[in-house]
Amino acid sequence: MHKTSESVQQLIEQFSKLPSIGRKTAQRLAAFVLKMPRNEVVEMAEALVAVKDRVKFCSICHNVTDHDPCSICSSDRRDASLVCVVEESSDVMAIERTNDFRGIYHVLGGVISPLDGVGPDDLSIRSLVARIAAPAEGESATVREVILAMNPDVEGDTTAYYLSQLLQPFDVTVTRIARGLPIGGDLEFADEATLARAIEGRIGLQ
Amino acid sequence: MYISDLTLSAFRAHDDFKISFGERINLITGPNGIGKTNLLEAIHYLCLTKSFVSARDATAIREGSDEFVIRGRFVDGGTQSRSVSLQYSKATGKTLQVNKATVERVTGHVGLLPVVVFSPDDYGITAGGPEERRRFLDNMLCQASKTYLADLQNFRHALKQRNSLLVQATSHTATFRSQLDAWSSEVVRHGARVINRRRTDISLINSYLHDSLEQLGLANEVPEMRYRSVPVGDVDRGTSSGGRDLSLEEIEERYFEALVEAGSNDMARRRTSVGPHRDELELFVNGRPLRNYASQGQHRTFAMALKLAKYHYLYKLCETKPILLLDDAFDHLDPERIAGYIHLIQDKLECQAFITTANPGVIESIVQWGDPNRHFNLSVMIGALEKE
Repeated sequence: MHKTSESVQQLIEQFSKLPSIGRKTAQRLAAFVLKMPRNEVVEMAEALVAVKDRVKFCSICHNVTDHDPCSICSSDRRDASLVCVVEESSDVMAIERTNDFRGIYHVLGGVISPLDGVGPDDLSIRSLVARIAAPAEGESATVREVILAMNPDVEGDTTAYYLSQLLQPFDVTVTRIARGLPIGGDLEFADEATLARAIEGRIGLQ
Repeated sequence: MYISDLTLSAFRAHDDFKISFGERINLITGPNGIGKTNLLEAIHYLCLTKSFVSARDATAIREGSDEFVIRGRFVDGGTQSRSVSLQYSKATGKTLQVNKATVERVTGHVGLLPVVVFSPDDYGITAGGPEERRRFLDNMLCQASKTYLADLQNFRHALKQRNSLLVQATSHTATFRSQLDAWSSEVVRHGARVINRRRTDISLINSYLHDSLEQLGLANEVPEMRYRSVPVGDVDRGTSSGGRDLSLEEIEERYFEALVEAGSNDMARRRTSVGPHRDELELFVNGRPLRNYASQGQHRTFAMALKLAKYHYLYKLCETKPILLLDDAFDHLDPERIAGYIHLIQDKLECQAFITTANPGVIESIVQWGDPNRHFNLSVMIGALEKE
């Protein structure tokens, strides 16, 4: 292997550090980069550095952003009375892709998990309570509803319960996202637990 | 359902081994250490993706290898066949394939190939502590119901988190208390479902236990399993609920209250003290607790009856005949009893059974050998392999 270029070897090693990239994929990616036009490679390299240099966390919702407050928090077309609480920034991206949600967000930065040493103080929970108690500067409306959109697993459900108890004293509606079958999915291929919960949570048609 | 072929590579005593089974009784004999139990263990691996001998998969890899592979062909209803392969490697863990397709969620496989193990350790189910009886009950419920399996896994996970919080607590602040509350609610959400399923299925298991004792020629012994869960009380006798059945919501409520009540005790001992993980399953015969009065022989008979009840229960709920794995299960019994069991398997259950024993005399003499029954002498088979 030492007959090939040192730089190519280094690139392969860098790619293999990424999640779900094995040695073979890293080699393929490096070979692809070799064939890319120089300006495209520069663009890519700059984008990589930019995320470290320019990206900050929004002081209101803790989502990743270039400008503080983020474009969602500062938009006047968003319904600031509706706050969707999620675990990670990637969850914001997922919900934004629906193009249906008109409210704003609050990113916790994880879930409560004693086994991993994560407690409420390690998450942006205090700032969430503060947002509901008194709207931050730049936030116009008082919060009317909080949607708890943590993952439907043991930790997500526990964090949702913890937040719902914490928000009880405030004049705000607290809701949890529904669980059930994926749209367009095949009943036959759904896992048993999802299917069982979907049957449990069935709704009348009249 | 039965298994027709089994191939092992680097599994325990077997380097490279292939065997075709009969549809009914398969007697496996040979000297100690030749790998009789290993064959049963391999079949168990294919059915439930785990061993009944050891909890650590790595110990099943043959010395000098990095992985073992078990392959089997299961036939159902005479025509449908399913090839199952389980590979365990030190580096990548377990991979299960059914009909050459990798199964991502192993839990989905559990219960498709129901299996019941009979071993001398079964003695512990009736004579040992409550943990053995809970394991017995959980094993059969998990094979019968995937929702029970999911609920039990979630319950155990939430319990682990709650206990971890209790261990970490340095002071009992308001934040800690509301966190504990949140974990209690999660433990209850899954735990109540576990309790509910155990409660509802116990009567079905009881009726099969009754049938099983009758099949063993002990019709005048009236058995009863009583399920006692601290959060809901002696619900089987209806004492705490006034003979009324409890709904899942009521169980949830009671369990949560019980956790609140045990709160200071839990905080002091840094462990969750109430719930399905502490439930008791008591065995009574003619109204008397079996644990206190039964002789060794009676314990063995009742353990056998419990396993037979498990067979009937799984047959009913999985809608396919479970495979029986009898690992040295007859070794402490007199010839008359052994003959009784063999006749029961042969004429009443009519299922596939694997029997290992170091003293095959009685069984050899009463079973008609040749399909569907086969007799394997492992030392002869392995000797022939080595000569090749």
